[in-house]
Amino acid sequence: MSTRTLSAGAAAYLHAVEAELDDLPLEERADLLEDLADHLAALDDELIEDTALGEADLARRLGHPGRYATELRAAAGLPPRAPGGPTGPGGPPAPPRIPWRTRFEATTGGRGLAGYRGELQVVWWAARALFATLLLAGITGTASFPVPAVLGSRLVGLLAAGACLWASIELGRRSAAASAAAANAAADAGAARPAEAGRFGRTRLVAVGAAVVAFFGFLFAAGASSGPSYDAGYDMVGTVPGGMWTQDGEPISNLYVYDAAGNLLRDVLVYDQDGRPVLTTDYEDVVRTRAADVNGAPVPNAYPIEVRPIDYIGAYGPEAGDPRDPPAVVVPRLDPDGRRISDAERLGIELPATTTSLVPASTTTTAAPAATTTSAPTTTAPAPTAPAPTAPAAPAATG
Amino acid sequence: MVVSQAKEEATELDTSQLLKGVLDLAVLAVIDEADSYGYDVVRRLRDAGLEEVGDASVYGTLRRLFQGGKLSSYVVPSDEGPHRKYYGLTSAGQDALAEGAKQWQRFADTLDSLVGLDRKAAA
Repeated sequence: MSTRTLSAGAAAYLHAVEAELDDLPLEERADLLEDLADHLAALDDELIEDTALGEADLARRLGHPGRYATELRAAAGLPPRAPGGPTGPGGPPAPPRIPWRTRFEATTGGRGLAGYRGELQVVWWAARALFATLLLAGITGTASFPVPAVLGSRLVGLLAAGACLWASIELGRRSAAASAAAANAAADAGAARPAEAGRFGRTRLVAVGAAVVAFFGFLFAAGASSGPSYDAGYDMVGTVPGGMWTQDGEPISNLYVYDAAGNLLRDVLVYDQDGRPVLTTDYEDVVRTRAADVNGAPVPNAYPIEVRPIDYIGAYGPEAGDPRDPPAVVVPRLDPDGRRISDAERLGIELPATTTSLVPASTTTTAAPAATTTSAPTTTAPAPTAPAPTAPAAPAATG
Repeated sequence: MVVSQAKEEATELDTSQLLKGVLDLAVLAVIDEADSYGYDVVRRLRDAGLEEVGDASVYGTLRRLFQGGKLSSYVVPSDEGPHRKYYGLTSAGQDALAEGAKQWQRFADTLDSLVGLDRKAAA
């Protein structure tokens, strides 16, 4: 067995700690994670021979990933985690500019600070408008990125984006005007101020224009990089071509389709209601391998995608670990008569208590000890493999 | 100060709190004994009796000591396992160890006499 490959649990632990360190500079983080990867590999060797060490076992040994990261920072003399990490999945890369500016200002003195504040404010106005639009799109059901599809339409999305931007700028201008007025009032005599006030106003005008340009520029630039065709998905590595998120904003990175008997189906092609290929969100630093078509090109909407964690152990570069296992799910047993339940039936009418629920109440006559609990995803029981439609007992050969 | 706090609030000493103050010294001492990599340092500290030492604390300490010039590091390739990053003491590390050991001795003596006096008073 190769000790250069982390077990699935160890890789998951590594990723969890990595997420906790995501505010640190890349180099610093890479060093810390390389040490941890070495350590996890050693632990793998110590604690397992051929069974994969679960993340829970590691948490017992090393502490919860969050605690590990906190302890590591404290011992290494690093600052505690900065609040407000990345907010959205694959958010706009605006923040990295700020430290650069801060450093630049530090070298040339605080002279240009006011000017930079104006520019940053513009970025902020555009960003919050974009965020509001995305939020709106998310609330109305279809969170698509970067051009938000409000109520399922990108046109409405663009209009909504424009409205949000206008509101954002208006809000920004008013609060700026209010603070400017307060500043002027504070400097009791207004006579000394008009020149500055005029310059201030001009700056604002430029700022508003810049915010509009930046906002739509971002929308179209981001749209151009991922929008024009789903073929972009064929050669993408580490980009987000389509993307799926849960209502809570958790990225959905893979799809697993099971048949009624609980068998995992492979190489399933998934399309949405309009016949578009369904693409999941590629957010992790992993090696994803897709089914190939006859021309040898990867098919972006074939599922499940094989996912291998990147193994940081090799001192001379990452390599792929073992493929990740499908999640443990318990597939509900379907009614053998193929019974269907409409939403109206489910919500509106109270049926007699005989056969109401899709969830198998434990009163059904299965003698099998499996499927005692419902389809709660927390159980680690594997998908039931035997549908067991009361198979006739094999008659003993009499003769 | 960490120690006094622990002493005040509990009859049973919180070892993990005690450890925080002296982990640097313990790590330096272990590496002074023999050059070592992270996992091995953790193991040797535990074997020596510091069972509550946290893995993360050791790695963080190693990194800080390394960045502070107390440790040097080198990678040893290995056929069957991953490459290992070994740490050794620099001369600054040697000095820090000697100084820390002296400090610890003074502190331990002080506390010994304190604890001894307490016992006598109680008896």
